[in-house]
Amino acid sequence: MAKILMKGAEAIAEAAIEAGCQAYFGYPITPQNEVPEYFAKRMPKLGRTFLQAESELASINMVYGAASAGVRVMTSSSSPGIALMQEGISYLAASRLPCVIANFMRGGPGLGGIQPSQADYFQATRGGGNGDYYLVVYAPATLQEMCDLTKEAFDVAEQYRLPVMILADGTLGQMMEPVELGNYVPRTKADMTWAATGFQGGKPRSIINSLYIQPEELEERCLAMFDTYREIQAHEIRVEEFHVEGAQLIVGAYGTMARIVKSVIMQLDQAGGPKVGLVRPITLWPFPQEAFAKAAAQESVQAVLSVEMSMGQMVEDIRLAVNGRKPVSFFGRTGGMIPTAKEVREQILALCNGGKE
Amino acid sequence: MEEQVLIAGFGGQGVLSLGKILCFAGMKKDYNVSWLPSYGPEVRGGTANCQVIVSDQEIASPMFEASTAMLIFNEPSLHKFEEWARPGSAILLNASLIASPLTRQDVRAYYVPASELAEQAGSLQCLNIVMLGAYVAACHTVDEETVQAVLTETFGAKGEAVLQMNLRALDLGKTYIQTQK
Amino acid sequence: MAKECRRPKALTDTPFHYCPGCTHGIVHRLVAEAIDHLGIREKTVGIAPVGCAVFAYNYFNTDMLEAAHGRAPAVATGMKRVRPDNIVFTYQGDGDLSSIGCAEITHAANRGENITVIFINNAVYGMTGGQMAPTTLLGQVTTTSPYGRDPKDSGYPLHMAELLATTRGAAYIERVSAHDVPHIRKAGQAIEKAFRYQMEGKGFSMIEVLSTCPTNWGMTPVQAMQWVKDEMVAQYPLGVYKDLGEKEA
Repeated sequence: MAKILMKGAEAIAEAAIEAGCQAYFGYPITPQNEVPEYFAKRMPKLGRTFLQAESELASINMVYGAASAGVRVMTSSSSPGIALMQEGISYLAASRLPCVIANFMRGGPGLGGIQPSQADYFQATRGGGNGDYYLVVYAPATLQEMCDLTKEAFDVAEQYRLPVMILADGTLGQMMEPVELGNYVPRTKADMTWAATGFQGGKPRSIINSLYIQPEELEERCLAMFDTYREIQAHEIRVEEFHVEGAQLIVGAYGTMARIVKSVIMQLDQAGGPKVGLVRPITLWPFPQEAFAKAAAQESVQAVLSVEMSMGQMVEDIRLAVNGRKPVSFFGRTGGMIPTAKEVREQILALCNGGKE
Repeated sequence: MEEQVLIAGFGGQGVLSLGKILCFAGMKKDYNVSWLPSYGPEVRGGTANCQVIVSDQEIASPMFEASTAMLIFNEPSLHKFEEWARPGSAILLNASLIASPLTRQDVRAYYVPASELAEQAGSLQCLNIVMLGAYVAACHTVDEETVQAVLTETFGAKGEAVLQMNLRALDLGKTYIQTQK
Repeated sequence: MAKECRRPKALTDTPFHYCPGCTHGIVHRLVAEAIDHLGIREKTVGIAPVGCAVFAYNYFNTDMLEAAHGRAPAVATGMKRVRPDNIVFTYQGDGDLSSIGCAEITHAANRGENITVIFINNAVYGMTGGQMAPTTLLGQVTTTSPYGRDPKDSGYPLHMAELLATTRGAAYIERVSAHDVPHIRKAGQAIEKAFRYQMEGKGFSMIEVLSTCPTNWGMTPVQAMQWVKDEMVAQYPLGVYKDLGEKEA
């Protein structure tokens, strides 16, 4: 199929539709309003469900209701709205309900601003709500990747029965790039007999629930979730490595930030500058620990740098992965400011030269 | 080849849609393209800009540090972005609205009376297409036939009169640059 | 017709955990009887609240979801929108529906969601130990209004039936009571009608049931029934607040 030029917020919606998303519930918030607007136009024509909820609290609970019915369902929002949804996300995770949630991050904390940010990393990769749980978190860097990961997210959500988050930023929502759609190859359809759809066909009674008043029972339930998480860690980690072999410095960055870092590395390469590698997590949870550990363990590597549109969040995971083998430092900007190529280059050069002398 | 175009002006001058047309033209030539708009609460009446990249390589960052071409529609944008221009790059200005000359001496400046030419083509609404015509003549990243084809696809549905007006605007912009050489 | 004395099919064989004199058990039975009578058990999905009825999924012998506090109408919306052929009901208390879930219930009603809401109003938070609810009567002593509810501090009893009846989306709103047999019969009829309206696609319906909480009111079951009759009915008049009927809905 030919590539079409699409805005990120529209491309993700179209990708979801292609993956068979039957229902979208959302609430307006900048910079992702084109997502609900696009679904509002398309879903009725497909005989599927679009509903603008009265709040993000309602959106995520409508997602809970539709997910309980075993259909593919999605919501999207931006940072403050995702914060409001955390109660529902925790319930979805605990009730083992599949769904896809997209966060087009904007500057925070509080009402913050509307410019791109990556400051919800902790929230996304540590579950976000109450209790012991994780989401699978994808961090696309291009619109094509965002489309492909969104389709995969529906499969992964159903396969492991959990909410999957697409962690993007305002840039990915607002920019346009050519995307190729219509190429979705689904995974094997997961067993959905757990869904609450009534007794048709003599199936056993379905109870979708997260309340376990006996601690022994609740612990057992959590342990089963963690069995699933280990399975996910074993099979679903995704990472891109760029110029890592023999690099002097390893930079960790994801999403939009990784694209800027990649540009800088390409420029340095052309200019005969220091050899710098990029490790770009595509899954933020599960985190590609091994990739960072191996990259940093190379003899050539003198230091590791995390570059973020936040005040140093992913750097903690990188430090855990590198585990003291090499010094790990951080550079980032926040509040909707994006580190420029120039700033990133200066950081890289300072670290490389510092390493040499 | 990687062309990094900054387009800036008032909201409503067609700045963002010009960027999209440029992307469509690049795609027709099998280039990689990206379009990154400024966004904020000030879309109507305020300033608007977009960064467009047309490249025969993978586009890593959709943001660039210095433009290889700049299309400036109003005075505030000139002051804001003039320093972004790469030495030797092209800056096309809507001279109808920009009184002050460039301070930069190391760039190729093109002063286009774009508002007048747009009205000559039929409406101030095709101001952005006049600028596009001028850009095509000054920079050669995409050729005129390709842009004409994109305009036909973009404006075809709006009727023959609208399409013809835009094609005229494209030609007036292009011819203006060619006759200035 | 012979009178039957047996458990409705739409209830499981699980003993209720409710306190002696609590009317939850009665209302559960009324809901189950309505489901049986309409023959919809196999396509019904119920949504339990947070509150004393949090374990309702153990009692209703239908597919059940457990929702977050106050969000049952949103969960019901999500379910009903993607499965319009299922019969979807929520069962919510006054803390759940009229306090934390006031937005969700109002908008579900206003959108005319084709769902059935059973609203238990016993003027108190039961499960958490008898705190003040929006429906607590003026002067009523609770653990968080130890000197009696004072409107200067805590406002006035919230009348959900009247409030939701003002939404154009609502099809049927009635307030009933569970304090004696005649009223329980009427309540059962109202509940069945609410389910029937959903089957007929008429839209949103809510049955508010004035209920007891002898434990947290500090009363015997008999005193509690009397208190509903004397005090609650006076504050919350019974009756149909909205009924679009056969024609208009």
